[in-house]
Amino acid sequence: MAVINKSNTLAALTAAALALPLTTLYASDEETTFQYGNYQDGARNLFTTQSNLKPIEVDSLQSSTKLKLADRVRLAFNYTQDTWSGATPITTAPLAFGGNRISPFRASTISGASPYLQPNSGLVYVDAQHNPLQQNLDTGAYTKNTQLVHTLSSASPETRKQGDFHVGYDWDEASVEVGAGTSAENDYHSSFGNLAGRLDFNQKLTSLNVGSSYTSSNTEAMLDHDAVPYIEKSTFGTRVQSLANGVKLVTGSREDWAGNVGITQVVNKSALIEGNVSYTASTGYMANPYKVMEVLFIDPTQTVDTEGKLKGSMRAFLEQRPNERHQWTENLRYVQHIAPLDAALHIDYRFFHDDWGIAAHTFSADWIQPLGDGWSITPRVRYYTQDSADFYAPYLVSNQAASKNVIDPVTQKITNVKYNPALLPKNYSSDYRLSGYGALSGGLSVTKKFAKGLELQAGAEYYTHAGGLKLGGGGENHYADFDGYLINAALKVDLSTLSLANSLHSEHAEHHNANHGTGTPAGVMFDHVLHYAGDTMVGYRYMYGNQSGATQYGTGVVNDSTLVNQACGGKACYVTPQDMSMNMHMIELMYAPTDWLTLMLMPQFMDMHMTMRPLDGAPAAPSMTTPLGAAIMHSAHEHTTGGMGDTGMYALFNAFDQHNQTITVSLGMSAPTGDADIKLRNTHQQDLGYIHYGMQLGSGTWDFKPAVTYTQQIDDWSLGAQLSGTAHLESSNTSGFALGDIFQATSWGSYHWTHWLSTSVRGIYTLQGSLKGAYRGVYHQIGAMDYTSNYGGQFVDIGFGIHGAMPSGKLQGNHFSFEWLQPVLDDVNGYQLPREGALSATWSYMF
Amino acid sequence: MRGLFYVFMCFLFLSGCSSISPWERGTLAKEHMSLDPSPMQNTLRSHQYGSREAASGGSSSSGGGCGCY
Repeated sequence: MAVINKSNTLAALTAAALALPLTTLYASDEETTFQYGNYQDGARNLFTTQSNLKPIEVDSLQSSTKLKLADRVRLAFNYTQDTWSGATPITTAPLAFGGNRISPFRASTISGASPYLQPNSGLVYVDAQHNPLQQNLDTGAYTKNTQLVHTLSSASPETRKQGDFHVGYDWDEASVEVGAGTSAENDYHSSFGNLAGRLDFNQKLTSLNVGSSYTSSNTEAMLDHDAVPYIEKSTFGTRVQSLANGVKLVTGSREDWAGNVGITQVVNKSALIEGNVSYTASTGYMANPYKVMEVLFIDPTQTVDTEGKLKGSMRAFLEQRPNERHQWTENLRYVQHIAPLDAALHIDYRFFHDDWGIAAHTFSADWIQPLGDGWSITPRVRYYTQDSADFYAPYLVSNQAASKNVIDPVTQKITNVKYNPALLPKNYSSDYRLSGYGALSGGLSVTKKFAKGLELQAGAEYYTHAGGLKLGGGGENHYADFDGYLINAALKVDLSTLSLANSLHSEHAEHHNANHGTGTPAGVMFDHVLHYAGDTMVGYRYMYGNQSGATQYGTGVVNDSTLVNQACGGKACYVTPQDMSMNMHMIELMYAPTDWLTLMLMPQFMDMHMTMRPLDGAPAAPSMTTPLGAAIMHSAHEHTTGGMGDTGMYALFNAFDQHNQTITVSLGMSAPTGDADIKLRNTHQQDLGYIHYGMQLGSGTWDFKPAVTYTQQIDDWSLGAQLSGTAHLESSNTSGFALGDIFQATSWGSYHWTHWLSTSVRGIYTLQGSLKGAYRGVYHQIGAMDYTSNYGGQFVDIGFGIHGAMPSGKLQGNHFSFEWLQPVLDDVNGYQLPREGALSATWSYMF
Repeated sequence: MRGLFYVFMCFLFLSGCSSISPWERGTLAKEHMSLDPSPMQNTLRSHQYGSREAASGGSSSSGGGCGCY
């Protein structure tokens, strides 16, 4: 009997192994993943000055879901959101010319520039060999100084959002996949489509992969106000458009066609290799609209003065890149199993070259070491080196006068003649990314795989870029060196494993459904506990809220004249919010260490957007060269913030649980992981300081968040009520203010139409105090949203919800719920935009 | 370097003549032997490299923004 069983098992495994192409075996067909990433640049070396501009930081939020629509049909959709802000190099110039200057504001600190591209009206001195000369401010003497330095420019927070999907069909020994997506940010939009196929042969030990894609992108970038006066635009024709208020818009479009072909080959029973060749043809506008090239004009007709000096003139030009680019990449990946340690060594090599003169090599190695009990650790190292582009230079020298007066020998008329653009190179860029350099990075990832398909991953990587790391030497000078680090945390749920777990433990799952499928509206949290030690629940919660319409004072609508005269604490208001929206993504991780206690961790990620309009009847805005005037001018742009919010940590237990009635108590703390010190970038050479209070991502304080929830089941009805609150435990955060405390009372009833579908109606009363304290530091009050008394109020909403629990099939045990909150009453403190409504959507799965 | 690459590719084809029985494929089926065991983390890392290095891309899958910072 045992022999027969063994034989059957072997036959089944053999069939399974043969059915799967080993080259693509591992990707789960059904999984959902959330990931948060944070990249932070280190400070740049500005030599004689120290920048007080924060280096660039990028927050990324990604989610990806793969599902099987049918036996052979796969669907995947992905969403990515990046928010970045901070300073990056706009150009490069000799240090002697003073590209970064001491800031006139923020006394006592020395600032990196708002972009300062033409110091001393462009007048500089060089020696006879055109080496930059620097003046000693004490002695007045000039000495040679060839040191280069970046000029930095800072950006207010901006957000990019990308959505894409793929649909795939699998045959026994082949597959085809088609996908499309779009990416949008303020100044750049792209749409793309792709087609890929795989053919397996040689008993599925070999796979041939082919793919192609098309991307269409458009740039519409507004040039920095502060940089515009110093940038030569005349040579760019229609690329630069002039709009109202001196705004200059750079427009362009590009197309990218790409194709790749590759082979994946099983080498032996413990090694795998893949070779891939790809080609990309790009046409159109490929320059970075925010990078400029400094050109040093030296009139060749002049002679050195008594100190050996020649006069030069620095002018800044928008960078010019070729309108065509052809890129080739050859990629090799090798995976070797290390039997004694059960580890996997991944070695990648990539060679890239293009017709811009760039050749790059990338070597990377990952060592994935399983440690047992679901843990694995992956140290990795990566080395990258590239040659510079043909048209790269830190700055240009042109042997002609930038402008000079010419006297007509006949008429004696004086004419000012500008430089001849034809004598400049056709293409030029000082973008450090096109220079010759090397980059070394190393990192570590830790993964923990729990039973039933839940996986958590955290990783960190340190990255260093240096001219001295270029393979073969000859890299860019050390002024361009920088470093940075990238961290990420990911949560992956294998949906196909869940469905397997369901079928094996249907009784257990039913129990969970009975407890979790109570029809609680999507907007209610802290309403249930886990019942058994070791139970785990994973959830995702999304909330959207919007405010727009006519501004209110209390419950009544006010006109612009009232706002101008009364909403800004005795001063004049200049603008008013027109539309404010917020997207919040929350991950819920619940775990029961004992039968009576449930712990919950809830990281949050959010983005906020605000548009403003000028108020009718407002006094004339001060000059743009004043801080207030600059702040008012900047309000014409949409203000955006995004990134990680505060993180909640909660302990829940049932204080009463009998006769279909429960009282659940939740005691929690919110940790100030969200930024409460976000500032707008300097503009019009003015420090705009902190962004509006309501745009900060976190409270900046430790907060106490208690909740008590009562629920009762009566036949097909579920009833519930909850009291909850948020008490800010500190009187102010490091920026100087604290959000108002919140009290909320809510009650709901839901009706179960079937055992898997219910609908709910809910009433909500919310009381929130106004802000306490005020920003300590520079901020400019241009509208009601900049005054702490114009926050909080009393609010009444009615909510309509629908709740579904997948009763069977592969998604059995997954809960989905949606709720729309319709405002009934807005009794606001001070002057505020009314709320239009809020949407909550949740997904959860209890193991 | 390119020549070496294509020699390697030919080797790939030739090595494909070897045969591995289904019951010898257990090791290859382990998750950490996958060509891309952490695709989402790699997407994040690639996006970051792409906004810091000239040799971005190199695959036919598309997307990503300007990286204009």
